[in-house]
Amino acid sequence: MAEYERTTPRLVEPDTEGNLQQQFLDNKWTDGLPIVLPTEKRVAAMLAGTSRKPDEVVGRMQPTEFRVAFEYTVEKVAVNAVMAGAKPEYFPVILALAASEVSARGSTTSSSAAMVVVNGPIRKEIDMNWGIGAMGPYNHANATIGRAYGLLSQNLQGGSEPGVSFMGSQGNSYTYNNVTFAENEERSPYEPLHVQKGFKATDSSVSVFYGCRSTTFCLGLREKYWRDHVRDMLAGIDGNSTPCLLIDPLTAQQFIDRGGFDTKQKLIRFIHETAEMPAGRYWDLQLVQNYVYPWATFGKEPMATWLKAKDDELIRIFPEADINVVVVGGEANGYWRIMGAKYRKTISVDAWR
Amino acid sequence: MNKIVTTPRADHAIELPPSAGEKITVLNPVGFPPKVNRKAIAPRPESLEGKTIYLVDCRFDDSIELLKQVQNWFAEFMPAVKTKIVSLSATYQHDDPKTWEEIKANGHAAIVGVGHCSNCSPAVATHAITLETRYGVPTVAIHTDKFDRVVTSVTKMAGLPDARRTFVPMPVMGKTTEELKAYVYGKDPITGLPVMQEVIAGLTTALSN
Repeated sequence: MAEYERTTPRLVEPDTEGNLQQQFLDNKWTDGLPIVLPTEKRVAAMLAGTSRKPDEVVGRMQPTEFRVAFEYTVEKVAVNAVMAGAKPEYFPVILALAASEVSARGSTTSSSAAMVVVNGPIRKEIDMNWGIGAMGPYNHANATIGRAYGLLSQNLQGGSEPGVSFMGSQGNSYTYNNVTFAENEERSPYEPLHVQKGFKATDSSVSVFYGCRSTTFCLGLREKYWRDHVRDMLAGIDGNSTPCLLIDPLTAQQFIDRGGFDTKQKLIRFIHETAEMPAGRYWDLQLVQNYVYPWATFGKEPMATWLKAKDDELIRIFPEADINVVVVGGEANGYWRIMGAKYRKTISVDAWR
Repeated sequence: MNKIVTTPRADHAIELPPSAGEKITVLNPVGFPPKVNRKAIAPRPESLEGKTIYLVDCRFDDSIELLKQVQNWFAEFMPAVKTKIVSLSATYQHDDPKTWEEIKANGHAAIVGVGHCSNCSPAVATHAITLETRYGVPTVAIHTDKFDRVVTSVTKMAGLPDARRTFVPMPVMGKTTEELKAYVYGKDPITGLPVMQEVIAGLTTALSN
């Protein structure tokens, strides 16, 4: 078990605003954009957004496995929340993200990004967006909570420096605010995500996904070939990720009308049964060779069974339990997309109020 | 438990901009690092003559193909050295005590490779340090040159900054047998020294510091 000392200074040497902005940029403490300087007054205001004590340990985070994890307190999270421009009322959501211990600045050469889904009453309390433009830069809470998650990840894990602690070969613009939005619970015909993950509908929570490299999209579900079109979309999801369907309420209704999928679970089963690939082609994917094949050889199911299939035999490449559905969008049209993103955790926001 | 948080409005936190040249105090945003405990390397044999070296495949991309060229090099230039290629029990993301025990019981030294991705390079460095410090097996890690600063950072924070390693060019994935042979028989792009010279020195020479 690692021991932690408080060797990081609490304060930065006093300087002018311009010099401090430059120093934060030079130290790689930002995402390259100007930040709100975390003065003691601003950090104190942020800390008023929670009942937790400033010196309470929130968690530990690391850029990858086999790299050391850094430890952080409530105050350290507050500093990064201020830098992102967040309001104190968002702070419980940001603390919950920090408590997930899932880094939004993971160092993978594949350039992953996190995705954040907020559920429950907190969405309304802080005026989050789940309608038109929810995944874009049109809402202060969505924008700054997502940015805070990125900044706290890179600083609280001890850095995210290209060539040293970040090796994403191409990078990923999703990481600017980590695809942060609220689920459209009001217009969804389905159970909210956090309820599926064991919370009550009246709980507030935040769910973290990771991956977000492969994305496919479509408009609606045409009567004749809609099943084939979904199959084509699923073929675009990399074999080491799992599909997370991000569907506008209009599309959710179409899935009910076309396929009778009146629960998320029925829709998830359809996705599981539709995402098929000849076994030979599946096992020849480099990511599958690296991350799935070793487990199959040691008997882990269902991979071990897939390994017994003949090359031309179709196998269902995404386990049902790993597929997710989130309803988001403002019903401007029935657009929807599939994000290749693995579900990681759902954390209570209420616990961090 | 859905209480509305009574917090100051955001504009309460807004301060008047400091006047030009006025110095202000801000908080440091960086987390707290763990305490680093310095580790010691395992004793080295004077020579590898008659010894058994395990070549440990981390199972990422074509690592094993490069290790086969390391094996060929020993067969060609140091035939008195026995080599055995083993693959990790699962992916590189997991510690593998069963394999380490086998190496400790039946081998005299190990070469772990190839660290050539953001996750597997720290993993290869860590597995090599585990073999070195917990199992007493002299070990050299092979990485690609793109990850030299990653390896420096990982070994420093692991308490063994001088952990022995050598580098080959990037990429390993998809390269032909001839190309991989040229990597192994060629020079480390970071140090300019022959790759296999660094491997032999790393396994037989105790670090001076």
